[in-house]
Amino acid sequence: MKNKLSGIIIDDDEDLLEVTSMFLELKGIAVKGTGYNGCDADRLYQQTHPDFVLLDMKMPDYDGAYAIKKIKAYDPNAKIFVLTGYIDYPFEKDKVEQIFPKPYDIKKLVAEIMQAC
Amino acid sequence: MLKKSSFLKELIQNTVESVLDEHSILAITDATGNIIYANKKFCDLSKYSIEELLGNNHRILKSGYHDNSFYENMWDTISNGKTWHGDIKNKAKDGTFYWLKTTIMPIFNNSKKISHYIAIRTDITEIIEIREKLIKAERLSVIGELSAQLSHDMRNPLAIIENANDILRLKLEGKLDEESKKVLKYSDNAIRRLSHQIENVLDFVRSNPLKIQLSDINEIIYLGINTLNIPNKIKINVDNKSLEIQCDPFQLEIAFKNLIQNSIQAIEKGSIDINYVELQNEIIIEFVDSGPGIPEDIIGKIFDPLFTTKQKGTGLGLTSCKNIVEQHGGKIFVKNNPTTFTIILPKNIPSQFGYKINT
Repeated sequence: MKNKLSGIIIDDDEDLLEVTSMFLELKGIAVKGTGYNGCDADRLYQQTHPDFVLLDMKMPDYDGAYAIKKIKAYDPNAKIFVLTGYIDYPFEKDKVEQIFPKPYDIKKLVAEIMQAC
Repeated sequence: MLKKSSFLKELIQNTVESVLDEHSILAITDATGNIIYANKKFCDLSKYSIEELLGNNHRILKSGYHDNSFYENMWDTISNGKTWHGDIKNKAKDGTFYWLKTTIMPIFNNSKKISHYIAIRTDITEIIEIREKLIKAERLSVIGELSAQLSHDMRNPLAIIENANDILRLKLEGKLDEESKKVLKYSDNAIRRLSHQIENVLDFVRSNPLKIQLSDINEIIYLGINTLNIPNKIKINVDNKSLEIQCDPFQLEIAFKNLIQNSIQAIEKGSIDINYVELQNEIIIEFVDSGPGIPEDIIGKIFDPLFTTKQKGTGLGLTSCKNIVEQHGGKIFVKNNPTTFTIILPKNIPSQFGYKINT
């Protein structure tokens, strides 16, 4: 059997990070790390090699667009799900699995993750 | 002052009236305000004939825009022998309004009593309208920025509440009584309502250039319908034919959705018919509902931003709709019996309205 599904979550809103991790854990998904900006995302990805990334877009210093560039350069097969309040935020939309506008239905998000990974 | 030469005097006497007639309204009233002279421009602007104006009181042109103190102040000034200046909004015979920059001067008889008033007025309707538009646009842009920021800021907390509800449901599975389940449901509904309002605000403030592509109107209508919650008591009938035009399908979907949503809320039960026809250069789309119609006193305001009669409304839905249609170079209007919203869209959007993307 395949190992437990694992992911990292990147968002500058700490409470949102917390509840999202909690829900994933309840659904049997391992959260290997959480971070607050695009730089964290890149570092955590290379350290933990997760099955997927949940990525916020608008974050201080290094945004989600930066993370997509870095992670995809490191691993072209990385599976990234964007969770954002800014639908019009410029980033490479063709490089990500799916975009979820906030507030999103987390049950649907988990279902999509399970299907993609 | 320079002394006028006889040549100048003659020139002024002979020509000043015709220049005035071209430029301004010229009117003379008696001391009580009854019109005894009106030039052609007066008739043109007020849409009254000279016979209708003469002998009538100037009051017939009152627009109702100014309050009584405005007119009292004017009468106080001129009846005290002084000249009055001001901008007045008047109503023409056909009910349309026009603005006049006005100067009224009293004329005295030999016994130094006021015998007449002479008024010169210049049509400034266009300037006033532009000014009003600019003020409105400026205010809206500030409101727009503020509400966009607020809306974005609300999204994370909303996501947290929604996720927290789902966690509680998972953790307490099987332990929740019916009432607690209901409470969580209320919370979910509230989140949905807020999200909907946020979308409304953001649809309104987003002024993205259109992304024009060849799209099927039928498909756009169905995409819009599918994202809405249609109550069982309402039946939506759509013309089932393909009709392709150059447009921004995502923007039009928002516009159609807003119209359908508006009808759903207006009729509670009944039907909504969506029909469209193709003409040579444009297409006409009609949204007809079986509701009671729109009260006549508000029908002129329903496309105004922030105008709403609904407790849960933002007053932005129909405004967004109108903006989107106009961005496409089209028009939208509404009439009663039956309630019908009509959209006219050009088949090929003039290039200044957007840019094309390759599909």
